[in-house]
Amino acid sequence: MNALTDLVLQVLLNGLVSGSAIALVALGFSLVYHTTRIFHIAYAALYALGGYTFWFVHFQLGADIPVSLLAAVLLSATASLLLWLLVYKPLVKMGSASNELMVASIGMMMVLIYLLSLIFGTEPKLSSTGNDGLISARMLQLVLTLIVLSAILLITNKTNVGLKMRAFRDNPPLLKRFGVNSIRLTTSLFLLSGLLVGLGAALSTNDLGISPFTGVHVFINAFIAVVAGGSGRVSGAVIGGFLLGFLQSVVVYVAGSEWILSVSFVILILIMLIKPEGITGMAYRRA
Amino acid sequence: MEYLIHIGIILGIYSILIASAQLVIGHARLITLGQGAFFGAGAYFMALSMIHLKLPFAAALLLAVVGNSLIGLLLALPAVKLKGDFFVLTTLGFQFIIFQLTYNLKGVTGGSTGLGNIPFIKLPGIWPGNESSYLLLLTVVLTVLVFLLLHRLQKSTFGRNLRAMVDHEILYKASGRSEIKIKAQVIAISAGTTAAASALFAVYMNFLDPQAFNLDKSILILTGVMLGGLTRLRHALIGALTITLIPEVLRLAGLPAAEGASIRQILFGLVLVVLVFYAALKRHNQGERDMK
Repeated sequence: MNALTDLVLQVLLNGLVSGSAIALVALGFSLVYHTTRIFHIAYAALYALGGYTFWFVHFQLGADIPVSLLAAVLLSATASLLLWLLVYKPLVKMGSASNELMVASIGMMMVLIYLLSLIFGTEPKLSSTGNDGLISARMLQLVLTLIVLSAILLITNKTNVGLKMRAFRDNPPLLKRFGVNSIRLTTSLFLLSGLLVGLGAALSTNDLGISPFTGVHVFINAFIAVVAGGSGRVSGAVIGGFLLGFLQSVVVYVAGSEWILSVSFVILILIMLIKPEGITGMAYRRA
Repeated sequence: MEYLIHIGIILGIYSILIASAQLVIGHARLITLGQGAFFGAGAYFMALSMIHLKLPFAAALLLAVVGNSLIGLLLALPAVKLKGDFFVLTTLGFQFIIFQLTYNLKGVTGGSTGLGNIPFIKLPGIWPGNESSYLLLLTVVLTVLVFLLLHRLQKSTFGRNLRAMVDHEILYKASGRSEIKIKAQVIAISAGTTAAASALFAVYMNFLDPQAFNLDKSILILTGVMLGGLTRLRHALIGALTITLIPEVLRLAGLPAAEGASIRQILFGLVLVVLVFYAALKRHNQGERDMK
């Protein structure tokens, strides 16, 4: 009996930690996805960038954790901003269709990910903390994530920024008519999104390490969380993230970690099929 | 000579892959990141049926085509009901599921250690050349067959229906036709013709590794389609030629193998971005000219 409760507790705790990690990057993704509707797969590369920056600054240069976190967050945020200003924004202004933006994003993902593997190699970089380090890394991850998540949710739900975002999502022309600068709004969302993915990547790297394609898995998780959370609200991404985290920790226990992504996907497809109005109800906007 | 034969076989494989993907990406306007998975599934069908069932090449190919088409339908079932982003997401997931299956089912596929000892085609006694020149002949035959088939398809009622569906979706549905059905057919056919490339690859390599069919391959196929052009079959040939030759040029330029692989991927990524900008600028300038 005691062993059973231990096990349940362990699975729940694992779910909470991985759920918070997914929720953080899913939130960052949903900020830009719900407003621009870009299939922003280059987000995967921003994650890798944050992870490698943290790994390099913390484990190679030996800087302490706050400095390394800051470096990762700043670099990811800058890259996110540049991606918007130099790639997406010009294309949006020239009236590119959503398919074209998607292809550009896939291209940028390839460029960034392979630049990173050119610099750091394709072998996974492990976090070299011991067992005690692991527990403190996970505690840090959990606490910091919960603080940041609450702050963002508070901002988007209680202030004018969240209102503008929702208005932009639902009716961009109307927002423009009311004199809200949608370009400036999107710019700040890309910045915020980059901050979040950089933080999420750094905290996870401190725990699990990083490899060039970790970001792609994380992107898929984030997307699943956003879809599962549904309804297009920012908080949906957070709820979806935690649900997916718990689910995955059960899958790891039952089937093993190598099947996580496949099971998550089958569940995503089931959600999309059983509750299709949850997806089509997300005000799908065609460019 | 052996080098030219090698290039010829690779070119044929890419031509089939890109022409098959063109049907989905260009003709049905469905961006997919799952073509690499079909390539892999076909190759494993091929190899396993040749190794365990001892089937000859032609019979194994038939099995791979049928198997791939069925898997195509399996993907299509959920995928075609979903639009835009959700379709791509589903194909991306499909890509990872097939990869995890080939990677984790070690008893069947050999997992990361790979699957070796795939038997070669039986050479007919009268063939004067060696094995690889025979495979080149077979590559040419299969490529021509696939292109003829896809050409016929475009000219048929099916092709006209497909164009009608893409250009006037609502009218198409209003006329009582199912857009879900035709999209599913497109995906299944494309998966089936992809199996021809898988067959050649499996026999030529004699060894399969899941890494050969990962997301990179799907993106490479997408790049090939975008590079050549979305609708014409000869454009698929141009795309195939470009992505076959770029690595060779890089190698001749003296790039070391390890860095070369990354640089090649960076180059292909840049190509995608440049192509999108080129299309946007062209349209933009066109629009300004029309204004005047």
